[in-house]
Amino acid sequence: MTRVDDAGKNWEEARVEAAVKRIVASLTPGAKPGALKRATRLEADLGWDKWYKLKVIKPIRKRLHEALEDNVVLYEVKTVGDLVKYVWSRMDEPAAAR
Amino acid sequence: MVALLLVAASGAGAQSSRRWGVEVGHSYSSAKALHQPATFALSVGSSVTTDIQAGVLAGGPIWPGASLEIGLRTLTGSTRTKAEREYGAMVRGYTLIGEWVNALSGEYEADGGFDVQKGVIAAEVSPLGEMRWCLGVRCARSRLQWRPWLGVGVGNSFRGERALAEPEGHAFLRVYLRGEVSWAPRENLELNLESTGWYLSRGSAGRTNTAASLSFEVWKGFSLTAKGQVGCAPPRFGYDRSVSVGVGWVRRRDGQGAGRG
Repeated sequence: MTRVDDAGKNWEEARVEAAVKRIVASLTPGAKPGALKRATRLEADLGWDKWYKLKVIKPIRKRLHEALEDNVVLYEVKTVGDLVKYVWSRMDEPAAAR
Repeated sequence: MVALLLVAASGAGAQSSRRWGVEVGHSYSSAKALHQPATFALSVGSSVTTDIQAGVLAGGPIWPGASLEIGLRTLTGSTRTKAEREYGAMVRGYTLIGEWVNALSGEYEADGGFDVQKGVIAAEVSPLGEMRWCLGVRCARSRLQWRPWLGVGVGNSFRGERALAEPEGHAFLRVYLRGEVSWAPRENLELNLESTGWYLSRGSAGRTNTAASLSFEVWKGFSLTAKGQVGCAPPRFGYDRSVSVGVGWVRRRDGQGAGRG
């Protein structure tokens, strides 16, 4: 199953997850994408504070072409899996994108 | 003297989407103050006295792109005189502009006898974060994390004699710098500190206040906690210091401690 980002690029959920993990790892001291799980908590496990979570918005807009809402990231995204699900939910079904 | 100390920091988990969450800690003034346990201390000696230090913060999205936080805080109990007690209530909103977090808040402050009551509207900013400097994110080696806030507030003393509202007048301006620091050398050991320095208008000297706690989690969020506070806090900015040690329980909105949500 694939979805389409705002730039018209097709994504599978596994590729979205891999891209999100690369972004999260790039923002975390000493972290590697392969070591991250969907259940990894951004604050408790990775040491991000509440506001640092907003750092993901710009790279996700750049690489996955999706605009995330600040308050959803602040209050509803707690794990890597939450972030993957949020980005995936922002993408369009192929039929809807046409 | 036999002292029984109960320390608790709790928060309702907010795992569901589009729901507000509630956190409880030392104060709503910053994330690290909320991560310091709320304290209820009962001292039994020649007389029974209590000391309560607590803050609660409820927050969440109100509509797409906007969020709001509402908080209450108190330093009270029979151990403190009326002048030493503090009450506060606050509403705060945030926006993200570029790489900066911007907050606008309105706060009500009062002392224990409500002889001094102040209202303050404040704006403050903090950078989103920087990995190299441990700003907003825990450094892998030092296990340190910190965040600065620069703020300016304008306010008014609602009632009370001018002498009671000092060092601020009936109308006042505050410029302040607040630092939040946490250090977690081990998974179950964490030091949280919040320190604020104010420059007060009318040519009065500056004031500082620092609150810190060291918590060692022993089982599913239950922890041994040492807590200290020193400095001059609003609304009266009178000097105060305290140290306490006790048993705590931590449950946070972000899923740390026992509060996985």
